[in-house]
Formats: sequence, structure tokens, C-alpha cells
Amino acid sequence: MDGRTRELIERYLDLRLKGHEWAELEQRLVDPDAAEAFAQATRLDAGLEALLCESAAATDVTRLFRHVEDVRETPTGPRRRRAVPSWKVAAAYAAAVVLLAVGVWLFVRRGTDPEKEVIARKPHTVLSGEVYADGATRQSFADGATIEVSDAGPATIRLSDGSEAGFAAASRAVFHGSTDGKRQVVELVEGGGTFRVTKQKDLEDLFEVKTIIGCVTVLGTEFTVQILDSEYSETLNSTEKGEEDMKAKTALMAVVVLSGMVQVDVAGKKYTLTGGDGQVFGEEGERKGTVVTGHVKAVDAKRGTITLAGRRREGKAVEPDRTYQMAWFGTVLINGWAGNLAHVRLGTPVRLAVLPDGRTVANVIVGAQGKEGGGERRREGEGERRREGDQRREGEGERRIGGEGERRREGEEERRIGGEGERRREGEGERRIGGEGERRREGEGERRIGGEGERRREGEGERRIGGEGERRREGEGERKFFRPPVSRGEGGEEGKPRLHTVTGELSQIGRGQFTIVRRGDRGASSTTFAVDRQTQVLVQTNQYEVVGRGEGGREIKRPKLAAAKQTDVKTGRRVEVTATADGRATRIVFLRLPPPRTEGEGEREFFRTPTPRREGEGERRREGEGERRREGEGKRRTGDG
Amino acid sequence: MLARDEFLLQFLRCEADLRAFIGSVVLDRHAREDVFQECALTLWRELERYDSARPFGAWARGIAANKILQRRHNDQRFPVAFSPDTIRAVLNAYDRTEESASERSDALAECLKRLPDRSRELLAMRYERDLKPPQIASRTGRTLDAVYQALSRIRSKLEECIRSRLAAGAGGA
Repeated sequence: MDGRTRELIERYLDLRLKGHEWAELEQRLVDPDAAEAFAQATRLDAGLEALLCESAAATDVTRLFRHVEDVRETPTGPRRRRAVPSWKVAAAYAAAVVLLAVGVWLFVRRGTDPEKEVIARKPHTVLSGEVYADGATRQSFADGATIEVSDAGPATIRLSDGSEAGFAAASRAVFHGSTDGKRQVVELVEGGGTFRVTKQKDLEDLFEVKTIIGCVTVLGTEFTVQILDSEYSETLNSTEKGEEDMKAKTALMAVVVLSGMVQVDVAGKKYTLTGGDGQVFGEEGERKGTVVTGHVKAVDAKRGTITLAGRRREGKAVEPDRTYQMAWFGTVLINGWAGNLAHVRLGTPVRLAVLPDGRTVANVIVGAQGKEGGGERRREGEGERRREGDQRREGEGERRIGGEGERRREGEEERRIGGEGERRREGEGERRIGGEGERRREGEGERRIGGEGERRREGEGERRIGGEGERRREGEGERKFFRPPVSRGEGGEEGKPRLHTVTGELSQIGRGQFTIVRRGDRGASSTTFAVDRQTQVLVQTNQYEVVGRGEGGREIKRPKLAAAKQTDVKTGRRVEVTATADGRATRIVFLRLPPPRTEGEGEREFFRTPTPRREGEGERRREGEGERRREGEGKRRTGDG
Repeated sequence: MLARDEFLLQFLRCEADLRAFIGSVVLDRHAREDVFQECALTLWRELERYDSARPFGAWARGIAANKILQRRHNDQRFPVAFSPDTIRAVLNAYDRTEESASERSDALAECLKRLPDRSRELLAMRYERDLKPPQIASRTGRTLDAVYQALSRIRSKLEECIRSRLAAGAGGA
């Protein structure tokens, strides 16, 4: 085996193969020696993972087999009416997270309707963890059961229709089965869980997760659901007690969709959330979270708590220390990189995205995202950052990050977790989430990220969260709570599919699909899109067209688009892909190479109207060089200017 | 036909290799786990059809390969690294090198112990903490290339160590 094959295998193991290298490796693997070397290298890699990473073997197979046997031996009971038809795992995955947190008021709500029809099907199987039903540990249970997950750890349940639910420790849920025209209704009473729901051809497609605040309905995709704290003063057990009044102290529900689409019904309103959307709901509808800033005083990575030091003025404590609990889905970002609480150093300034319960943290952000060395990128006068010891009034440190139509004073930082209709400063662009499509003005290079109010560099904001076909390792931090994918406003109108646009390098072209790689400060990520006959393939030409007028009547020009030739389609080229939420590309535009940017340049000169230059001023271009600048010439220009 | 207990024994023996094969062609960790689970259940259910004249590991990997190809056929976005032909080539390579797999696994554990602390720390970051090379680079103060090179060197060292141990074992026998 030659050195190049070894190099390619190494690159494959490190997930850093480039477009053409994939094909090269494939070609080389035809050679039996190379294939054997590949087999040994991947064995070694898997061996290292198995030896060093305890969680590598996530499935306890012995247990799995035992459960299969249990399912085989468990009588289906007299209530069984029909067998589950064969199902096909759907391509799309969606994920939703539902959180119940302690609130401040009491309310009374009716229990579950006892007259509803419960159709028992095949039993649901416990794949891992300890699950109790009717006071005993169960390996399987039927529809209608109320289950409780042991405090000791999470549990995974395979539902009769092939879907999976991963419940957090100490969770409680009622499996209502096929009711109200839905194929499965799971009522989350307490705790949390992750749901991956399969599509079914023959059964009703809707899968519903019900909470005391509202319902999350999956619109034909796979999804994940998890519930956290809830404090019920009385137990709800619809199957045993039938109609029962239920008193609860709380009522907040956070829904986060990692990919796919769900519909949330709260207070008679319907909200559609798609991949990356996050929203907190109260009984009355959307609720707001806060961003809290401070210095880390203590961290307990095991318990998942972080304590921020209280404020002191002239040696006196004016604000006590505050301890927050990480949400199970919470992420820790250290200078833009995913980490965990153990990596957060004491004394560092952090920002916490706190859920409306005031004590659960969805995001811990240390330093700036995507930029080493901390410090946010912000424009002058955009709002003052407070330092420790600065005078501040009580409550000033908490900024609201959600809510409708919130007004802010000039100079205040705008942040939000979710919600619609926030006001923005001129030129900052508009974006709407929650199923109403996303709007964005053309020509704007800067985009705001929901939840943190930071600006991303081009390409950074375009990562799909929890998207299908993406290569991602667990804990990579690309799934960020309350961070909807940044999209440009195409489609999204009622009845039309919601589209998003991403830019990257075409790395692989396969049958009916292609992959693009996007590189940012946080590394590279790839996304695969499906193509069909309807997909429009265009290329940017050297000609420009005026698309609007900017400040002072300045023309805004963009390269004209033309139908692509076969020769334009090759790997390594930068493309802009417009795609639907389920990953189908509707348009691919092959981009022209932008000119190299000079130091200190804020804008992309690519789209600027050429301005006349005086003799001896500015950049000199060689004939035929077009837009490209020689290295160093731009710097000279900057210096001159 | 295999008794259930015997099946379990056989399965546990080839589990690591089965995971390694799936991991070698499926790029996403969750997808790997799904394929593995699906494969394990199929093996359990189809036990009656197992031909004991054939190596169990090869049978299991064959089923895994079919599951992967089936998933890819049903879902074009299923994260598979290679074309069906290449997957078959890799499958054959795994079958050809299966004999030494369990010895290799034992040797790897021994070789890992002999690595210098610095190398072990690097591997721990990569595999135990699941950090990406850029993250390792920023934490260790090395350049990204240096991290890639270091990882590559460690893997080569381990490979050499495994080979020498296997050769010594064979010589001893």
C-alpha cells in the first residue's frame, strides 16, 4: 500500500477528505490491499473509541435481546384490535424539546377525558433504563399505561409503531395510544424525554405530545421530545382515575425543533416550528426568556449547575450569588466552540440564556462565538457592556430575549430567544420565525442569530441545526437551543414551502444528491441536498444587473444569473443552494470567485458599484485580471485611502 | 441452529468488529447506532437461518452491509461514505482480516498502556472527550496540522505495536 492511500485513510478517519479525495479513496479501495489497510485502520479507530469512550457502545445488546424476547412472550391482551402494519422509516427527522418549568401561579385544569377511545396495539418496549408501570419494573407495556422512569437514569422506549422515546430520569408520561384521529398521543406529565417518530403509511400520521400547556404535533416527520421539571400537586393518572381535577403550580413549555417541523397548539393558537426554531410557551401563549451576564463563581459539572458571583459595590454585596441549573439540552459554548460545564473556568465572564422559569439555563456562552479571545463583535454605540463593579440598578443585568413587539431604547442590545415581531434598528434586517417565513433584505451581509444578538460571518449562520445528512458527532455543539437556522426570505408564505439558502463548496456529487461543505471559524460542516428535475441550476455571469438603490441613490448591483452549463458543475466550486426544510434543493447557483478581501475592508467590494478613481490613486490592475487583485495591492490602497 | 446462549456468545465476540465495520462506512454516529441496533435485532430474529458452517462475524457483517445499502436505497440522504461496490470491497476486506480481529483488540489495549502520557492525553481528547482536532489544537496550543500529524503518528505507532505483538504471539505459539 502506498503512502497516498495511507494519507487518504488518515484523512478519512479525521473527517477531512476534500471533494475529489473521496473519489480517489473509493478508487483505491478497489485494491484488496488498500481495502484491508482501510479495514485495519477503521478497526483501530473503532477499537480506540470503544476503549476510551464509555458511551461508544450506546446499546446494551444483551438487554436489547432480552427485551425482544419479552415482547415476543408478552400477551397482547384482549384489547388488541389490529396488528400494526409494516412501516417504513421516514427519511426526515425532526426534534422537539418540551420543557415544563416551575412558574408562580396556580391553576386548575381538567384531567383527561375518560371517554376517549384507547386502541391498544403492540406493546411498547423498554430498550434501556428502568421504567415502572403500575408500581413494578416493566420491560414492555401497552397503551393506556402511565410510566415512570427511575431516578437513577434515563430510559429509552421503542413505541409500537417503531418510534422511539428517550425519557430523562424521573420522568412520567401517559401513553394514550391511538386517539382523536392521531396514531399516538403521549402525555408528558413530568420529567423529560426525546422522541423520534417514524412516519407511517397506513396509520394516521400525526403523533402528538401533550403537556399541560399545549400540544406538540409532528407533521409527518421524526422528532424528539423531552420534558423537564413540573410540579403537580396531585397526580394525573387518566387511566386509573378517569376525570380528575388537577392542580399544578407551573406552566411553561419550551419547544425546540432541531429539524423537521412540528405544530404547537397553545391557548387556541397554532405555531409551526421548523428545524432550529425554539420557543417558550406559557398558558397564554409565547413567553420570554432572559440573558443573564456575570462572572462564574462555581461550577458543578456533575450536577449541571453554574453559579454566578453576586455584584459588589464598595465591598458590599448588592446582589447575591445566583445558581442556575443547566437544561438537559443546554449547550456550553466557549469562544464559539462546544464544550461542557467542566471547561468553564472560574472567574470568567459568561452569558447565560435563562428560560422563563428563571433558573434553567439553555445556553452558557463564554467569550465570543466563533472568535478566539472573547469579546463580542459589535458596532460602536450599540450598547454598553457592563463591567463588574459598575453601578447598576437591580434587574438591569437581565435583558429580555423574547416577546412580541418589544420596544427597546436606542443603544440597547437586542436579544431574543424566540418570538415574533421584534423591532430592529435600521439596516439590521428582519427575520421572522415560527412558521411565518423569514424575511431578510437583500444585500445585507450581517445576520442576527436568534437568542444571542451576535453577528455571524458569512457561512456561519447558514448551518442547519439537526439537519439530515449532516455529519456530526455527539456534543459538537452545532445544535443550539433557541438558535433557528439563519435563512433568507424566500417562500415561507402560506401554502408554499419554506426555503433557506446556504453557501458552501460543492464537495460531492452523487446520484440524485450533492453535498456542500461550509467552513467557518468553528470548523467545517457538510450538508447533503437532494436534487430532482425541478432543481434550477444557474451560474453567476460577469455581467451585472441593478437590483435596487442603496444610500444616496447608489445602485446596488448583482451578477446576472444564467443557466449553468455542464462544465460549470464540478466539485470545489462555491455554490449557493436554496432548499426546502426537508433538504430538497430548489436552486443551485454557482458563484463567481469573489476578489480577495483587503485588511480593514468591511464590505464586500464584489457588489459595489465601481467608482471612478483619480490618477495614481487606488488599486492598479493588470489587463485581463478583471476583479481579481494582486496580493498586497489592496493593502496599499487601504493605506492610501 | 444456534442456541440462544451460544448466539449471544458469538454475537458479543463479533460485536466490536461489527461496530467497526458499520462505523467504517456510515459517517454519522447516530445512524451507525441505528444500523447496529437494527442489525442486532435482525440477527436475533433470523437466527434460525444462520448457517453454522459460515463464520458468524461474516454473517453479521453481511446483514449489516445489506441494512446499510437498504437504508441508502430508501433514503438518498443516509450518510454513507461510499458506493455499494466500495462497501462490498470493504466488507470483503473485513472478512479476510477477521481472524486477527480479536487478538488485535487485546493487543490494542496493551499497546495503549505503553503509550507516553502525552499521546494518551491526545487520544483521550479525541476519543474520550470527543473533541474535534481544531478544539484539541486550541486547547493544547498546537497548530491544527500538528494535531493531525500527532494523531496519525500515534495511530501508526499503535498499528506497529499491534503487529509486533501479534507476530510475537504467533512466534510463541
